[in-house]
Amino acid sequence: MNTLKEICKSVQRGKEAEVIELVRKGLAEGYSWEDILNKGLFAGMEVVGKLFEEEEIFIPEMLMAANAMTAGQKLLEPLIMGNGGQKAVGTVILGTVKGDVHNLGKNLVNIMLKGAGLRVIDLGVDVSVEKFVNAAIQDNAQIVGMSALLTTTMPHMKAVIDALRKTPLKGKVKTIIGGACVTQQFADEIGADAYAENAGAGIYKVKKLLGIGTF
Amino acid sequence: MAIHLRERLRNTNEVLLHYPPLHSMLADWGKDLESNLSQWIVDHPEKYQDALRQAFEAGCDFAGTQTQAASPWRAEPFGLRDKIRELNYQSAKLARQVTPPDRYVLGHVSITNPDFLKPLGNLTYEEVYEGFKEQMLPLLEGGVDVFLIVGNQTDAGEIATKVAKDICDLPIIFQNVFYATKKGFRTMLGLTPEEASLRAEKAGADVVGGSCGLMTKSLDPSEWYPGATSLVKEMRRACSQYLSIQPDAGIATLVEGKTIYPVPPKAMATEVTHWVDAGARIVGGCCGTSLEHYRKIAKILKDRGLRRG
Repeated sequence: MNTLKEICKSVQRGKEAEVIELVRKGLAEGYSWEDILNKGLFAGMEVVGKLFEEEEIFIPEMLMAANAMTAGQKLLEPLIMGNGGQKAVGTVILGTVKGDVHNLGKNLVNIMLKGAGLRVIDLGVDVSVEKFVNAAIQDNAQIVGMSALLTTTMPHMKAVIDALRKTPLKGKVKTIIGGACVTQQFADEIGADAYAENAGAGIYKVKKLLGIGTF
Repeated sequence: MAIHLRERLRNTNEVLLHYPPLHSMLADWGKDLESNLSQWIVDHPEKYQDALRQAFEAGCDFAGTQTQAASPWRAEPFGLRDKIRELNYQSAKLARQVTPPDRYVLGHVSITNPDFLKPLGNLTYEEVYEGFKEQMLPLLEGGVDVFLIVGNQTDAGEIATKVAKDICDLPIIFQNVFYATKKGFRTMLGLTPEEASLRAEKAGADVVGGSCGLMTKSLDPSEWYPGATSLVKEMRRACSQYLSIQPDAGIATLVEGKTIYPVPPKAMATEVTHWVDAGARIVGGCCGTSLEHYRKIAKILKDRGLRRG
C-alpha cells in the first residue's frame, strides 16, 4: 500500500500520531502536499463521512478521524500557504439560528466541510437573519447552512431563506438546513434547497448543491 | 414534599407523571422565540407559576425548573454568564412556591453541552464539574426535591450526577436522549440503551430513563410511542433502577408559523400502559406534549389503579 493510501486508512481509524508520522513520510518520499491533502487526508474523511451518514459509525469515531485529519493538515499548512493557499471549492456560511445556542451538530458539519476542502465561515450560535444575509453577501457564499435543535426556533430558518431571496444572491445562493427537529417535509415547506438528517449527509448534500464530488 | 421520592418509588406501585415540557409550551403563554428560557421565567414569574399550576391540575407529579439554558455554557451566549446563580435559584424558588406537598420540584440540568469532553472535544472534567456545581448549588438552595439530569452527553451526565451526590442526598433522575438509527437506538455518542443506562445507574442515579430523541425512523406517528416502549424494554434489560420515559410528541412541523407535533394525546394514552408494563415508573412526554396528553395518561393510570387522586 502506498503512503497516500496509508494516510487515508489512518485517518479513518482516527490515529492522530500515526497520521502525523505518515504525512512526514509522504513528504519525505516526494508526494506533493496537494496529493497528501486530497488523496490522503480528505479522502479518508470522505470515507468517514459516508460511514457516519450510513450510521455505521457514530460521533466519537467521526471526531477522532477529524482530529487526526486536522493534525495532518496542520503539518502541511506552511507548504499550502507558501503556494498561495489551497483554492477552496466553495464557500459555506454556517450558523445556528436566532434563539438557539445548540452548536454540536453545526460544529460537526463545519469540521466535515473543511475536511472536504470547502471554505467555511461559522457564524456561531444565536445568529440573526441579518447576520446570515450580510455574511453571505460579503463572502460571496454559494451555500448557507442553518441548524436548529429547538422547534421553537425553526421559523427563523424560513426568515433567512426569505431574506436571501430579496438580495442580489437570489437564485445563486443555496440553502441547506439540519438539526434534530428539522425534517425534509419542513425543508420543502420553507423552500430550503436541501435538508440533511445528519452531518455526514450534510457534506454529501452540500457537495451535490455545488455540483462537485463523485456522485 | 410529603413522601420522599425514593420511598414513594420503593413503597408504592404508583406510576408518577413527569414534569410538563414548558420549553415547548410557553409559546402559548407569550414566550418569544429569541430569549433565554430561564431569563424569561424569572422575568415572568406569574406566567411560569400559572403554567405549573395548570400542569399540576392536569396530573403532573413534578415541576421542572426548566433551567436547561442556565448552565454556564448555555447561558454564556445569551450574555447571562454572571447570572447563573440568580436564574437557577429563582426558578427553583418560584417552582417551590406553587408545588403541592405531594409533588416534587425537579432541578433541571442539561447535559447537552456546546462542546464534548476530551479527547473528542476541549472540555475538561474539572471545568464541567465546576460548571455543574455552579448551577446545581443555587437550584438546591432554591428548594428542589430531585435533580433531573438530561441530555445527549452521557459522560457529562456522569459528572453532573457526581456533583449532585457531592453536594446533597437528593434523588437523581438521569435521562439519556436516544435516536433510532439503522443499528437500533443510540445516544449521540453512539451508546446503546443498555450501555447508556448502565452508566447512569453506575454513576448513582435513582431513576434511569430516556427522553426526547427519535423514537422511530418511520414518519408514521402511530409508530412513535410503540418505539418508546421498545426503548423502555431495552433499558430494563441493562439496569435494575427505576425507569422513566419521556419521548417528544413526534417530529415537529411548522404550520403557519407555529410548530405542530403530530402525535396526539390519544396515541400516548393508548401506549402508555405498555411503557408501564415494560417497567417505567415515571412517564410523560417532552417537546410537543400538551397538558391534554397528561390528562389522558393520568386517567388511564388511575383506571388501572396506578395512581392516586
